[in-house]
Amino acid sequence: MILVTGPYFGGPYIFFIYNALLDGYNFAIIGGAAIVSTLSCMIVNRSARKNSMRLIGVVLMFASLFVFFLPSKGYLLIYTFSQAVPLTTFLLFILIITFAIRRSI
Amino acid sequence: MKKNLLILLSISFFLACKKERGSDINHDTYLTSVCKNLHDSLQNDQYATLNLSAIEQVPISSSEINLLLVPIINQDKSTNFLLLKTDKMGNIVRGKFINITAASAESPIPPADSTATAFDGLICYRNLNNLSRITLPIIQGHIVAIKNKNDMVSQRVEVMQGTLPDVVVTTYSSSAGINWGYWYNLFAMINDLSDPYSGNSYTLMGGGDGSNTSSTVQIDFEFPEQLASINLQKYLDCFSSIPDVGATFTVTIASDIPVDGQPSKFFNWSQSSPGHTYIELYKLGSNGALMAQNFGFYPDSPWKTTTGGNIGSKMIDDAGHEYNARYTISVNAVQFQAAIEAAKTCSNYYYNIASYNCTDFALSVFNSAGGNLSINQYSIPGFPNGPNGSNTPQGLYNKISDLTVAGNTSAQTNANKAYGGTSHGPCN
Repeated sequence: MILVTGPYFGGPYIFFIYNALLDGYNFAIIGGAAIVSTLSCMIVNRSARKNSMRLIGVVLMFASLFVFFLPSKGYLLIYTFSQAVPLTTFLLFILIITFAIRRSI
Repeated sequence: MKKNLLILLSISFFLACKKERGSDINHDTYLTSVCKNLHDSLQNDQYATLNLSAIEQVPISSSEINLLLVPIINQDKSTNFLLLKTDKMGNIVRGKFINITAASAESPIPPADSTATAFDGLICYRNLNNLSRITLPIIQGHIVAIKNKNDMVSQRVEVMQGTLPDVVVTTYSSSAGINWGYWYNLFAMINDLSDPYSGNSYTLMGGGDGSNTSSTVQIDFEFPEQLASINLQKYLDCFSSIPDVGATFTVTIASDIPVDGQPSKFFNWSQSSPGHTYIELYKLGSNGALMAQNFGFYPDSPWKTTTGGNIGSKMIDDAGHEYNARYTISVNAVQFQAAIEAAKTCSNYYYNIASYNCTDFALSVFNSAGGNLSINQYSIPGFPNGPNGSNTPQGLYNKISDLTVAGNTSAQTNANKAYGGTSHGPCN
């Protein structure tokens, strides 16, 4: 649901993960693992394992975003957060993540 | 607990107040070696003019090379100095006496709302052996190499690959009024003009605030994405300030592929970049006045590009933009005007990553000037554009590479990357 953008190109973060995964980018591998972890928790029945997998998914997703933004020397961050729509999607993401963590703990 | 905190706080204060002396050179083995080598290289009377007790090391991002600034006794350090490039052992790799003269004797104070202004003047290089002396003009901060009048533009372009100006004059407001200072790219000055660009740290050499101490800042290239869209009409209007009669015109198309050295890659996903293509227009008047503008075509809301549809566009000043290949043609006044008209018209088009992107725009302008350039079209992954595919920076890069291989001297490719020249900016 997160929209990221540079000067020439942007779109849903999951689109970036999908395409970059094929080229072996680190952020995409971590992001892919985050998605797998999050989706896996839906089919796990044991509550404790479910929560820990959800937590791992959240941590990995943040790690993926960190790895994505860090090498850009901040300019991707500047561009993404200077536009209203991508910024809104980020805030919504953080809101949802907060709820997810509260449920997991 | 309180006691421990107090001790911790005291240590913090002590460390915070410790003076940074990383840029100073003491009389150690290295400096002794430098002085000895200087003594061997210079005439005795020349050596005697050096203020060796005030040698400064210029901070650069290299552990192998040191840059030293040697003031000359009774000379203004900002205009007369010896610049040395040495290895770690103090051996002199290169040394030049440098004399810089501003074109205007008046202090270059621009309007208060300005933060930087161009420097015009002369730079005189003299080798340590005194056998070679060369004087070059500095135009808008760039050191310009001139073989003859006709070569000026191409030579200038070569120098300007280096990117940001070699001399920058900055102004800033303070309670005492407007101060100003000269910032030199000393690394660019010590290198031969043919050397690839290898540094972008600027050293404050003097200024109107009375400061005579050097300080260095690392300046990174300003990403175009941080800049607002430009009024292209005002940029193009500047060319009319130079009469067409006797003027020479060049049009350059430049390709910045997303992954340096890998033209087969369509995206750099970690930089959210599919690459970029932009245009450089140069007009050199018969009086030597030069007008340069660099610009490119961008989506106005890049996060919409993955929809694949038409979205609004904007023009951005691409001064100093990175490129991997570029192709320059000399044109006449009519062709140059045709390029200007094409730029005006095409800048109003919608942006579409598949069917009308930055490369389409740049090709439209370039070919309007008689560029006659057709490139291979590729299908952008995820954004098919029918059987023919799309124009891309990769296609342009490959075409320019082919021209280079075929011996076309106007085509230029770089194994890694280089940076475009400056833009004059808007004119009213």
